[in-house]
Amino acid sequence: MEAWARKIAPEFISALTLYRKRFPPSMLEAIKVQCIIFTSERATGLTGFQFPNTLIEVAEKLARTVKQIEFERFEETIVDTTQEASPATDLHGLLVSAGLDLSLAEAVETAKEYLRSTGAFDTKIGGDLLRTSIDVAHRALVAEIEKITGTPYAGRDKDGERRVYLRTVGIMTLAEEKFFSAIYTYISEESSHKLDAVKETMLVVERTVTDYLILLLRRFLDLKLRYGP
Amino acid sequence: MPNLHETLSQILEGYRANIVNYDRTVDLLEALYKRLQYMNDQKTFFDVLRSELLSEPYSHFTPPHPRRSAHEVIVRAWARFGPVAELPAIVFALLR
Repeated sequence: MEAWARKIAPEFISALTLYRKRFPPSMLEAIKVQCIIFTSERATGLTGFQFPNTLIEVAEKLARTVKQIEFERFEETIVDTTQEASPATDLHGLLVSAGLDLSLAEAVETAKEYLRSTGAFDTKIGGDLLRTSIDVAHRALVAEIEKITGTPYAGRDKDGERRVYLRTVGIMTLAEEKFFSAIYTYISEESSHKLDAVKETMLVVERTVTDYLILLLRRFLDLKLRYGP
Repeated sequence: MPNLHETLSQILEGYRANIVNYDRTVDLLEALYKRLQYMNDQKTFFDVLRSELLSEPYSHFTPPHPRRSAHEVIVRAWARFGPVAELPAIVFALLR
């Protein structure tokens, strides 16, 4: 039982969380019922069998996971999630509004597709694709902002220097620049030095990068509005 | 394609022997499953996986020990692309 609690249950919880949409309500109910057998025994003594604490604890965790999934489904009945555009669609729409080259959306899509593909995962390829997305966005924004504001870009052909420019024209704050620079450095280190970033970690980075690009585009549109047509 | 049972066993054995990692093993299982065109083969695929899972001994070894058990990759693969309706019953059946 302890081996199950240590090896199987954590994997099941993880798989249940990750592929929650595949589990119908009846399955969730069945899991909950099974968990109750372990978690309520200590209180009721129905079977007279003392389950190991590790089993009871993991059953509690599993039951909590199921309740969380059920609550999320309940939430979805109240909040119309279909109205929320996905980051990629949003990014595409923002690029169109900003009059920027749509190749940026393609760069992001390529990175997303690669990171969600089922083949062998190479951190270097994933990292390079994400870094390209950032580079393409920064280059395009710097070029456009130079035209709009008349503030020339005096930096070298380096992404870090383009980030400084974006800060000086008010697209991001110093704290944000530090944060996004840290993300950029993380991607570079993981891909250049071939560290062992797992695919899940790169997916977190990919979401952060996508949201970051959306933020940049929104700020760019604000800036464009301030400077007029 | 070689015998399905043998191919599946080979993938799982690669994982048990620490030749391939967790993600790659699940990807290989999914790739193999997607190559199966007939429903009967697809059913056999999960019959074999079920049998492997239920007969798999628990390994208390931790890396870098050369052997490990394949429970986790089977559970993950089943949740990702298998008939999930059967999964809770199988998982709780492992509680022995």
